[in-house]
Amino acid sequence: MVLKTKDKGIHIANLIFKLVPNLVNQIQIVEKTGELRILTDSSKINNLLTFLKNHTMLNFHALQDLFAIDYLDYSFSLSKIKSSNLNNFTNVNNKMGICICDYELNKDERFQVNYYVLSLPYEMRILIKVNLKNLSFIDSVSNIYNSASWLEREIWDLFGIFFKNHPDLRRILTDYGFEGYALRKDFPLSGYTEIMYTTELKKITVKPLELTQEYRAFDFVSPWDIKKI
Amino acid sequence: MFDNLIFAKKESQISDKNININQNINQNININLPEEKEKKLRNFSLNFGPQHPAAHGVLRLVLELDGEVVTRVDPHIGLLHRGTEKLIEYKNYMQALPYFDRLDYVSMMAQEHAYSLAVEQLYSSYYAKTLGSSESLAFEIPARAQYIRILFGEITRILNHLLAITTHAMDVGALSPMLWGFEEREKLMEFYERVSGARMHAAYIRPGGVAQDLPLGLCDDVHQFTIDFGRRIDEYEEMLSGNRIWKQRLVDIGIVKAEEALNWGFSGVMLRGSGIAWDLRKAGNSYDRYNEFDFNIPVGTNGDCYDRFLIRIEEMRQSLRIINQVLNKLVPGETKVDLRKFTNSSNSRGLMKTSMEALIHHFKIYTEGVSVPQGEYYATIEAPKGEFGVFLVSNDSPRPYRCRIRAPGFLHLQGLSFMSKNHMLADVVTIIGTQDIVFGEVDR
Repeated sequence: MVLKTKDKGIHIANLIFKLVPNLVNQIQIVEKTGELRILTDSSKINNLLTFLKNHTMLNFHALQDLFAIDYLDYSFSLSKIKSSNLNNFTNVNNKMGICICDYELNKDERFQVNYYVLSLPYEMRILIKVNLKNLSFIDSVSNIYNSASWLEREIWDLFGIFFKNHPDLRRILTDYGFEGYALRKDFPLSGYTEIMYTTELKKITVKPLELTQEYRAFDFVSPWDIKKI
Repeated sequence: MFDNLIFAKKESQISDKNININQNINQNININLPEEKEKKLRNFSLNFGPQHPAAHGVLRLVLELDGEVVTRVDPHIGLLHRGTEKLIEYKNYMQALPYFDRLDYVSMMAQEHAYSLAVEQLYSSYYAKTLGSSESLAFEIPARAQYIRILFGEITRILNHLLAITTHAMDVGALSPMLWGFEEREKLMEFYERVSGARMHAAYIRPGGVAQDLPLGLCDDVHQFTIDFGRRIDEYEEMLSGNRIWKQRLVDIGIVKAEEALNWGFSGVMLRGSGIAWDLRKAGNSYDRYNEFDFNIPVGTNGDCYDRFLIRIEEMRQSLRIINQVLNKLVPGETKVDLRKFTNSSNSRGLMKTSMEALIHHFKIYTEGVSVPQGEYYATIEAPKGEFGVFLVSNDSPRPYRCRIRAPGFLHLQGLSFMSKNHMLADVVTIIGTQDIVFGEVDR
C-alpha cells in the first residue's frame, strides 16, 4: 500500500508510540514532507536510535546528519505545547504552517543536539532532538552508527558538548591550538586572538585581537513590525 | 643496518636478536635461547602532508604503514575551515547565498539550489499561514524557473563529474584526460558566465527562483554542446574504461559493502556503487519537477572504485539526456515567484524609477532583507557528490539563526580509514579520488 507522505509519517509515528512510548517525549510531523520530529531526552537517545535502526518496520539504517544548535539568543514567541504529554502526538499543521518549530526549551537548557536518520526502504526521515543544559554531556552513538564519529567530534570542537564513550574525541575543524568553542553564540565572530608570523622571533605568534574597524551589523528593527500572528 | 636509520620508526626485532647472540658468544656460557621479551611493534608513521598534488586540496593524512600496506589512516581536516556557518548567522538570506557557491567549488549551483529550497520552504509556511489556506495555494516557484534550475543542476553535475573523473585519472597516472576534461568544463563555464556573469561562483539560483532569465541564444548553444559532448565521453571511455592499467589500479580497490556504506553515512555515487539504488531526484524525494523527466540511475555491483568510475561516466550521459528533455520542455514565463516582498522582480531596476511600491520593496529587500518567519527546515538535494543538506533555523529576522551544512564529502572522508585498510599506499590516492573530495565542503 503506497501511503501519501503525511499518512506515512502518521503511520510511523503511531508505530513508535505503540512500541516504545517511554523512549520519546513527543512526536511532531512536518506536513509537506511527512518527516517526523521526535523530542526526547539524553538518557534515552541510545536506546531510541538502536530501536529505530534495527526494527524491521522502521529500518533507519543511515544517520545522515548529527548537529547541534545553540539556543542562547532565540526567542520562542509562538505558543508552545509543553513536552510532557506522552499519549498523543501533535499534528501542528492545521492552523500554523508547514515547518514551525513547535517546541520550547526550558530556561536552563541551552543546546539541542539533532540526529537526522533516514530509512531507505520506507523513504522516511526523522529528526530527533535532545535538549541539553550548558555543561551536560550525552552518550555517543558511534557504536550504533559509524558515521557519528566525526560528526560528534565536530560538535565537540565547535560547541563543547561532551560525548561519553566516544572512541576518539578531539578537535577536527579548528586550528591545533585553538581555545574556545567557535559556534557558540557567545563566541564573537572575529574571535579573541589573531595569528601572525613575526619576523624577529621567526615563528608564529598568537596575539589578542586588534581590529581597526568593528564588524558592522545593522539591526533593522521596525517599530511597525506586525509579524506577530 | 637499515633498521637503525632515523626515518624508520619501526622497532625491528632483528637487531635485538643480534645483540643477544653476541652477548652469549662473548660470555662463553652455554647458549641459552634469547629471552622472549615483549616487543612493541610500532607501525611506520608517515605524513601525507597538507600540500600534496594528489591530496585534492588541503588534506593532511597521518598514515600508519606496515611496509607498503596501510593499517590506519587518520585524516586531519580543517585546514580550509572558513567559519561559513558562523558567518552566515551574521548575514541576510541574500547575502548568505554566495557562501554556498564557495562550499563545493567545483559544482556551484547545486549548493545554491539546496539553500534556495530551504529558504523558500521557510517563507512559504508564513505565506500559507497569512492566507489561512491549504498547501495548494502556498507559494510556488514558476515552472520556467524550475526548469532552468534543473538545466543548470545537470550542467553542474557534468561539470563536477568531469573534474572528478579526470583529476582522479591524473592522480592514478593518466595525465591527458584531465586536460581534455577541463576544456569541456570551460565550455560549460561559458554557459555559467552567459547566464549569471561569473564563470564559477554564479549566485544564480536564488530563493524565489532564478536571478535572471536565460539570454537569447543560450539554449541553442547548450543543444550544440549536448550534440558534441557524447563523443567526448566516448573519448574518456576509450582511454580509460578498457585500459588494462586502469583496471588493475581500480578494480577491487576500496570495496564498500552496502551495509557499510549506509552505516558510514555515504550517499550519492558512493552508495550507488555498492548496489543501493538511491537517488534523491527520483520517486518520493524528488524536488523541483525532476519527476517529469525520464532518466536512469546507474548502480554498481562490486562496490569498488572501478564501479564508481563507470557510474560517474554513465551519470554524465544521463545528465545529457535530462538536459535535452529540459530544453524541449522550457516554457515561457516568470523566472521568479511573484511575491515582491520576498524577491525583487526581474525588472526591478526599471520599475523602481516609476512605481512607488517597487521602490519601497527594492529598498526594504536590499537594506533590511527579507524577514523569514520562525521555523526550521532541512532541505536535501542530490548534489553531484552525494546528498547535500541545508538545515536552516529562522528567527523572524532577516538573518538565519543557525545554518547547518551537511556536506557529503565530510562523511565520505571519514570512511577513508576503513576503505583503505590493507591496501597499499598508492591505493589511498585512488580511494581519495573516487570519494570525490573537495575541501571547500568538507571543511566549510
